[in-house]
Amino acid sequence: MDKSISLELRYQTLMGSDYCITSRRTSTYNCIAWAAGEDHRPWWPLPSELAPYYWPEVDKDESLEDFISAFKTLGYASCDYGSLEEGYEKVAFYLDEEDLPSHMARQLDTGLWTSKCGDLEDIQHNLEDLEGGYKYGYGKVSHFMKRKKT
Amino acid sequence: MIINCSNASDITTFSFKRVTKKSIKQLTYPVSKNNNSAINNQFIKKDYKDPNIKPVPSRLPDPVYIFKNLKQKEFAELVAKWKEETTGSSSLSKKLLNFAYLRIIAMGEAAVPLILRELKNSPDHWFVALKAITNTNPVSSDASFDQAVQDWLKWGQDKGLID
Repeated sequence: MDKSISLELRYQTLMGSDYCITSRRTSTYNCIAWAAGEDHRPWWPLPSELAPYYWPEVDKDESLEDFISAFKTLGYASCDYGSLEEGYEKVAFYLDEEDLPSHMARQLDTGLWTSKCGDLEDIQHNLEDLEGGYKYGYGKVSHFMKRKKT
Repeated sequence: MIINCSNASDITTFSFKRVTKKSIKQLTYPVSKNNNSAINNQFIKKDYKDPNIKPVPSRLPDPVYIFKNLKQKEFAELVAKWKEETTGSSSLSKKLLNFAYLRIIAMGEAAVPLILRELKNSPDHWFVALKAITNTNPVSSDASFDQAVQDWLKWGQDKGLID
């Protein structure tokens, strides 16, 4: 399985874990878009005239509440755990030291998670592999949402 | 510039030899000891054709070249710093409010061709910087990232800012 030194230097908890790289580096999309199932534009709550940046709702900020609201528009509802549930797909929210969303991951059928790491590669990983403090991780996994698979 | 001086009985001659990359020009300026204005007001100009003397290239670069080089160096350093500090971040706010990114915007119009070249070679989040500097936006509201790159490159080509 492919690994990356530059990823491990930025997210030091990846060192020694079983993560693997699943894409090339690109800035075309970010972790939020990837969690939502898109790979052609970055998602972030910026002013709407700043295309190609996209957000499903207008006049929103970077709070967890507004991220939850955006994923509700995709059919997700909040849930308590990130464990694998038959018939559901889940997303996880990481919060930084200021309790602001710093990253999102999407659960795979295997129970592992897939993440787009900034402008770097996509990886398959365990949730705790990307946790960590400033510069060395995305903070803590703090919220989950799920929706029925179609 | 080379200055020679020779003395005749009545006239002191100052010769100015100007060596450029392409030619050697010699200006001779005679000064009469008797203050003869007819002599003092004339320049004797001739091309210096001595094949044994090779032109000496100027050691001073063109000031415009120096300015462009400094801007390119500053831009390259800021891009490297911006990427180092934000490449791993998922937050677009952190990328777009990074101090190095703001410094690039502060470079103004001089940065636009450099940004466009960077966008062409290594597509990245340059759309906001370009919009902020140029006060224009050629990107449609539903554009993908790749389409936005192409829209800005076409805009730059139309303006003659990039090949």
